[in-house]
Amino acid sequence: MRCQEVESKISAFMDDELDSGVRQTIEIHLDSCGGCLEQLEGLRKLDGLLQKLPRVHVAPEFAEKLALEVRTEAAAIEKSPFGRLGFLNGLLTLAHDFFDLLERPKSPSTNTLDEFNDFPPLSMGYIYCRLLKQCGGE
Amino acid sequence: MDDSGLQLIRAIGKGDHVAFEHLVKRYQNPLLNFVYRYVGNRQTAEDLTQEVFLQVYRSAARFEPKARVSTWIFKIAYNLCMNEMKRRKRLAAHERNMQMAEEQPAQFLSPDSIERFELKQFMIKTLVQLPEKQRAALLLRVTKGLSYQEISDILGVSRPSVESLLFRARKQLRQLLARYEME
Repeated sequence: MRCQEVESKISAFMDDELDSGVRQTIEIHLDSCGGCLEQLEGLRKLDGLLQKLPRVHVAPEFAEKLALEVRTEAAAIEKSPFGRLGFLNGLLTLAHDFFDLLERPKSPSTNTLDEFNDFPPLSMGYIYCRLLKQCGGE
Repeated sequence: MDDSGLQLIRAIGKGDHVAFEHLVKRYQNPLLNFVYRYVGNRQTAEDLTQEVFLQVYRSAARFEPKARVSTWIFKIAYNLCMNEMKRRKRLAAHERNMQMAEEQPAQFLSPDSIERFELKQFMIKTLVQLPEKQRAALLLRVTKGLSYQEISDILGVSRPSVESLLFRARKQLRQLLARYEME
């Protein structure tokens, strides 16, 4: 293997990320090539410097603060009509209203169903509107 | 496979806040250091680290264990860092935002320490100047010890590309370092 090829592989060689065959070839080359060996030492020195760069640490209360934040976020979702329970309640209300509409006697005194003789399309719209209104009113 | 990490993610996906706190404590410092080296600014790094954990919390229920939990978390961090760099470029404030002398004031150090301090500052500054993928690959490899395959998963590039990115990053840094030592 020539020096130019070794140079292109020396970084992966240092990281032990080469096939055993290529690795062995490079090891043989390094035994007899001072220039390439110097390159390898230079890269090792560089990595050493990078590893010694000053480390930063989070504030001690970082995890607690973050946990509190997600708790608050989760609580807000729970309260929201489109949150997990809110959404489930919405679906239950929709189902309830749907069956309520089917069961309810159609009396001229009520102003809810007369206009929905073309059931089901408009009545579904009616339920949807009621549901939205309910959600919006909360 | 990182089993304990996976268990934590599963628990977080079910809304377990104690598990979330454990996960944060496990990854907070490695993540902060990766992000800090990447963006070169302490305050931004803290904000981004916080955002990484919030994203982890929000998407834990959808996590699929194709990769290690740590790989997934660093991938989120990398994506957020890239977005941050794009935002900075748009604002053309990258250079101004670099906070280089935030650790120790040089006048309180011995001449030898000053030299080491200056070298470290030079390294931090030079790192931030590397092309983004090269920088990410180098940080993930050298400071986190990730394998080429893991880096390839995080950066979304092939394994040979990781090899090439690392080779070029080290070559460029070495050249800059040699120039610095000659001055």
